[in-house]
Amino acid sequence: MKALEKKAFRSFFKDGIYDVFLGLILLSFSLPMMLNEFGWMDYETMTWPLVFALTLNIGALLFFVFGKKYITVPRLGLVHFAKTRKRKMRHVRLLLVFSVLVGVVTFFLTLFKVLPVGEKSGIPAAGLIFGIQVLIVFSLAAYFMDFTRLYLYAFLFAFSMPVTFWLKKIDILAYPSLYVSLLTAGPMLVIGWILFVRFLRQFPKKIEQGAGDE
Amino acid sequence: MSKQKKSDASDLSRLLSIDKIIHEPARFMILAYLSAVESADFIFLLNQTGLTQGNLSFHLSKLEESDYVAIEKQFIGKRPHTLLSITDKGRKALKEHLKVMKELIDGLFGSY
Repeated sequence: MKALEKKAFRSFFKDGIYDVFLGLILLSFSLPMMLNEFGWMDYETMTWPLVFALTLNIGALLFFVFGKKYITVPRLGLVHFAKTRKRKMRHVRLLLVFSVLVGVVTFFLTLFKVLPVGEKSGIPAAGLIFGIQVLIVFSLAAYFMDFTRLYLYAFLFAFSMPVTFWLKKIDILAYPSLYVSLLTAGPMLVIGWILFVRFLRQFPKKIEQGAGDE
Repeated sequence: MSKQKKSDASDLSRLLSIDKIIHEPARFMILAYLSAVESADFIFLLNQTGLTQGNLSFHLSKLEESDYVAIEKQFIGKRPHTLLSITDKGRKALKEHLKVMKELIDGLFGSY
């Protein structure tokens, strides 16, 4: 029965929505840096980078919420999982809250120059903290959710920021943020869209609830 | 040797007493899925079991008649929505069926 429950739960990952959502979130982290590298935006004011990142985050969240509600559930059906799964998902939510809190604290500590910038390596302490905590949090979430692809995404998330800063420091590429984004957010978005399109083809139209009922 | 034969024969006779409502593959599959979750709707079962709408509906009716499955019909907005869950009686019957089947299979093929 455990295997059956796991199979049923995992069937909700085949829509690719999680993948696209995470890809867009990761892209939102590097988009301001990318725009800066292209010379389209500078860091004189933090307003525009934050506006861009926030807009992309909100877009990703809307895609996730509405995608699940209006695309996945009408096609795959609605299911309330048993207590064990609910407990696991509560763990995941707590982990994500913890992750966001660490992110916010790190951001402000960097803003007020409390955290070291990392003159030698070019990797600021914030980048390392981000990488380590994301690797731990996402790996644990992958374990609790039985979401195998999330292990790969944990790795891609964790290495995106430190690698970008390091590439900037050694200065061998013109657009390090662009290349790192292509290698990290890129696979998530590509995998997500492929799964999404395949999902829509596999489940082309919604089945009316109650269809076939007596 | 004769004792073994007698035992097998009595084991086989137990086949006659198994719950035929649950033993039918489609209904067994439905109950197995419902026992793994708290509740699910018609579409979820349709996708997981691979049964046709008519087939699923027919077997759900049989399971409901035996009080193994509870069917709750509701409206979400203007759309009808059918929520299904296994009853305590259904869960108990499924467990008992699995136990009997396991004993029968072990008794008959345990030595292989």
